[in-house]
Amino acid sequence: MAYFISQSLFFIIPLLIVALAGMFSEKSGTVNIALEGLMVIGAFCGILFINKMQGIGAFANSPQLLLIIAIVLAGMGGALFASLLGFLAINMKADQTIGGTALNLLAGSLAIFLAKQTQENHAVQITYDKEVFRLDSNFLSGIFPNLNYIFFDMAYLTTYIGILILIISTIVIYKTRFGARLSACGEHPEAVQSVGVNVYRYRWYGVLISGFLGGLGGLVYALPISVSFEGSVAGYGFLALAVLIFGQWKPLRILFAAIFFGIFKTLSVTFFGIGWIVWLMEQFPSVPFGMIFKILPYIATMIVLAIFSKKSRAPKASGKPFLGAAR
Amino acid sequence: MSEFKAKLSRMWLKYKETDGFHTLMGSLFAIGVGLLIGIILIVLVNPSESGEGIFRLIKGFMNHPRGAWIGLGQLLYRITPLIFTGLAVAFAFKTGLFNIGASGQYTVGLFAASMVGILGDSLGGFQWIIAVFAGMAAGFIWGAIPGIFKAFFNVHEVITSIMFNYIGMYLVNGLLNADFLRTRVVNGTTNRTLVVDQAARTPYGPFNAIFPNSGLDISFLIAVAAAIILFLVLNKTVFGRELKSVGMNRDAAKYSGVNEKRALILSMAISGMIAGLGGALFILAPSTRNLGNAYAIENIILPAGFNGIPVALLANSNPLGVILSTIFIGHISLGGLSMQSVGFVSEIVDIIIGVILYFSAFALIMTQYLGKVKDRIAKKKQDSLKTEDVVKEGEE
Repeated sequence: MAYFISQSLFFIIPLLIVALAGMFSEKSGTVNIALEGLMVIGAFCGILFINKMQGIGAFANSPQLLLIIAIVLAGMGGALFASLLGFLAINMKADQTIGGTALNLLAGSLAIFLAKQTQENHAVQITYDKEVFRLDSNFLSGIFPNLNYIFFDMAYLTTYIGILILIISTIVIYKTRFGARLSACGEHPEAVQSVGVNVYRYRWYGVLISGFLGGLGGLVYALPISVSFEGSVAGYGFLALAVLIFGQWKPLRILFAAIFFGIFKTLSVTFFGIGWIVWLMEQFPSVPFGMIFKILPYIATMIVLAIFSKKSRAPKASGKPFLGAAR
Repeated sequence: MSEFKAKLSRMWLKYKETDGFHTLMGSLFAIGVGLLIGIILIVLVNPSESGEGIFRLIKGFMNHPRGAWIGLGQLLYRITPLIFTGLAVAFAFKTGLFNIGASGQYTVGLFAASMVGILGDSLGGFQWIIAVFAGMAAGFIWGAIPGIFKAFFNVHEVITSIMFNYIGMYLVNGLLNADFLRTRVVNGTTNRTLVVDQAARTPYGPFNAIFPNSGLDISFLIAVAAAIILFLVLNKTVFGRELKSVGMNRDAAKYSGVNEKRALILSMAISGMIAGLGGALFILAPSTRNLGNAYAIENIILPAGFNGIPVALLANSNPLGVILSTIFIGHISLGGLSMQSVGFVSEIVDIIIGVILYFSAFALIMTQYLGKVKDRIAKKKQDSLKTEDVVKEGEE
């Protein structure tokens, strides 16, 4: 069970962060279909930095500091890349789907292109040592061995960053003037403009926050699951988009959606280690359990969506360029 | 002769004011910027070889070792599946839906067609035709699902499409790994499906004579026919207008008497059917040396569907434009492959395509805006002339 939960965090935390990234952009009125691309750019920036620093032996004694710098760089890379979307969608008032698709295309090819230019022998893979980042602490192992295993031994700092982002996002959206204005820009920009708030500026904030979190989420996703980065995040950005819609553009529901999906997803890679499922598999050898567990996260999500989506509603003005209040 | 010239110039002036012209100008502008950035990258990466690199990029399909003509055949062979996924995405866009699930529909179409193509020995000469229909049917069903979820459960088609990309891929791979199919249709050593029977392969038609051994078969003609049919359905039929009206405003269409749920589901299903057709024709193609194609059983979503999105967007979702945009993308992709042998990474081409798409997004807006400014100036002139007339009349 402890193993299961610690594995599931590797799915849940990045989905949560990236879906929240999408939320900031869409709440302010810009549809962000480029989450996948933002993740790729963020993961690329962060992992390239780690690769280079580990290569010259820098930060050898303070791996967590290295990780924090890499995370900030990943976020900044994402924000910079997202500014391309902001310019297109907010200033040029162009089609956001086209812009997002273009950025997804650009991100993947740019990451591979730059990897080939910066790595020896034109290699696509950027390798890194992730073991140094594992918290590997035992301070609770005497009292709560399982909790210690999940949150202090196998975990990375990124888990806590994800939780922190969730808390801050919830407070910002619901309890601050900034959050209220941001949401209003995605619901009724004309009204916002009429009380003297600059809609364009708030939409830019939304897109930049989205880029920062999306890039950060890319690194959080890529780091623990592999030992090298190859310019792809395997469709996770699109899954995060699905989690965002599943979560109805609300932070806590996004958390629920990410956990729901993440648990089923974890089941699909760990089911052969779970006692009662193994027993079932032995009883019914002709049933293709492997396939069923792989499909389950997606089917379960669809069923839940079908039941709860009747009154679903996206931010009203999301996807519509703001043309100014002069009508 | 001069009359003809005058007629031509009148037609030109008329065409200059249409949206089609603005789109074309916007696309050309975007292509120019994209190529420029690609060339800059090539020069930056390796100045000494840049001349050869740029030359190969522009040459595209003409780099083929057996000459430009065979290269053209190879180009058309390679782009045919992309035309279908591009058409699928474009058709959905025209009816107000974003079909991001063409990959899944393509995969199930490919699977259904290859099952008929491998197991349907008793079908004789009809085998390939039935295989094609099986692929279309599978794509139709897979496309209808997001439509049903949207029509009845109010679930956004983007989320359902993404989910069913995964479900389709895992389902197909799971079925192929189940004992029954594993022993009959899978090559265990390569972990790929067997190639389809000879009778199940699409005929070369005239193309083996025109482009010998280029791989091109009648699939390309089917793609062109599909584009024309979709264009006509969207623009010349009541059915097409209904689908588009639902896309523009679901409620308004409903009140004007359109069965909006049915239209929505059909839009997605037809889009899926085209993607499925693309998958079917890919797997049934006799291919370059008549060896047939195979499907690799990997847990990866086939990129063919995603690649259809930029193709469709670049063509502004015009079915006929999709053919042109696919040819262009195929052309520079072949250029990119050829560039590799002089030391340039082929991803430069993907960057170029990304940049083109980015700029095409607002190039259209810019040209329209310039057009509007021109109109406004012209109108102002007219207005001021009119007021002068009024003033003159008043004086009299």
